Amino acid sequence: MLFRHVNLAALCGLLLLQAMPLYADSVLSGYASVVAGRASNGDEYLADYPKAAVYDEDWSFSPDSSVGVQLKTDLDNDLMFVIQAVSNGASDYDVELDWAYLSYQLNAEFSIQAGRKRLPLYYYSDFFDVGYAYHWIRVPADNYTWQISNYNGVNLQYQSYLNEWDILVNLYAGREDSRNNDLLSLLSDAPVDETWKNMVGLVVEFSGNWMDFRTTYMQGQIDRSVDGVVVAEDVKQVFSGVSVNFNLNHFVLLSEFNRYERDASDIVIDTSMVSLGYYWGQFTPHISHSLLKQKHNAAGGDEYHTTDSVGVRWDYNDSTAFKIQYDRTEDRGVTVPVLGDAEMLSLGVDFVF
Amino acid sequence: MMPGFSKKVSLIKIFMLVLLSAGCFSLAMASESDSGVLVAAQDSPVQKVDILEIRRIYIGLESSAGSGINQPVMNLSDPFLYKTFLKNVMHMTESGYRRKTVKRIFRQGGERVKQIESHAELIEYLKNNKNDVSFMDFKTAQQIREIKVIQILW
Repeated sequence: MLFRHVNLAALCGLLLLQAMPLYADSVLSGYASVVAGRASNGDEYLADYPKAAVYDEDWSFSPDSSVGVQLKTDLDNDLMFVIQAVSNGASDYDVELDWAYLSYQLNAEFSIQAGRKRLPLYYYSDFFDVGYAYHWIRVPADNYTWQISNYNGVNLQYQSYLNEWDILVNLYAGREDSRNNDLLSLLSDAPVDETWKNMVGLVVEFSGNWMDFRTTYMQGQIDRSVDGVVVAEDVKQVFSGVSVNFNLNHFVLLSEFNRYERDASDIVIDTSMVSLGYYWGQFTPHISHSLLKQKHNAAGGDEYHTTDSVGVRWDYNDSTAFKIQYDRTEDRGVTVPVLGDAEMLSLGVDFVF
Repeated sequence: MMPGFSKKVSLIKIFMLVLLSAGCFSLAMASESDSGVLVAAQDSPVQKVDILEIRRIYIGLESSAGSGINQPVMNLSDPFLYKTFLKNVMHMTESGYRRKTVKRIFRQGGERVKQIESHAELIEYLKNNKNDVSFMDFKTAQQIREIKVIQILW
């Protein structure tokens, strides 16, 4: 919590820091997304699970619009400090720190980092809010349904290459305390406090000219209280996933398959996503399918929803992309429905600076 | 053997040889004039490096200790050259390259590769930053005294 909520002054502070003549080398970068959308053929559309961003039948800019500012400061040749402040419409434009860490370069390949970072469970977790980096308006929601997005801790990172493959290995450990968690509080209709602790995870990535491969594993424990009542303590959870992306001539094929398991509660959830895009000059038309399916258990857990999407990205210039996207979600859960079936039309612009 | 036939075969051989030589010459000329090269200041200590190292630094990764390179510079003075560099060295389209570097910046606290849009400014920059490298077409590079060609990239 120490790192999480800061006020707008912190964001201004970042900008002022950049404007001031610093002794250290500093670089300021940023991104923003302005997205308008509305749900149809359904009352509500849950566009972003972690932030509990919901559209209704009126046009709205809030659920998917966001702005982020990153300041990277080289304290010396091997030591740097990175801070990234993000403001999301879904969180009433409160400014939060997604990243705030020190990084020490041990040698050309190894670095060690400590502080606050994004929790790298999924392929797009690290740059979930940077819309410019992918072709959708938002990453497929069914696949990205986790309630904890960040952690405070340490990680050891290895980056090198083998023949034509860039390799990244990231070993991390840490915890996150989330009070009144956005997603769980929405779904439970009551304030939920959630702690993910004793987390240890490993990410391995191979990135080549025509293919990216990523595998991820994390295990840890959960504490949860609903409306002040402890409902889970020291419950073990395991997350694993694989992602494979192909770039073949003008085609791009993205895929991701994940599994979340909590044995003590007999919870097994599979999520996946497949997307096909075509680079046609400055335009990238794309089509996607994503799903979340929970295995039936004694408690009747049967969360199950799928989304089909079609859209186009237009690279207007080297820092701006316009997008339009249509989504259709089917909520097939009987005991655990989310927000029901819905369709969604979104238009947006992403830029980086 | 008939002397006329032998003469005809020799003529054909010579003709084929001339054709082959002309082909090779034009290929050499074409490849030279279409070549892209890695360049640095004339008195730069940077020596020939592995093509994978060049890909690595243009993605935004740290240069290896032995390469002697401080940072790469993206030469944007000629859009065609820029696209050819991305295609032949990075094996990426423009938008693919941009997305990859943006991802890296916000994921790992990286920064954009330095970009220079003016040819004159690029030469001046390299003169003042002897451990930095960039790329340009071979013909242009040969005509500039202040810079040296480190290696042919394509």
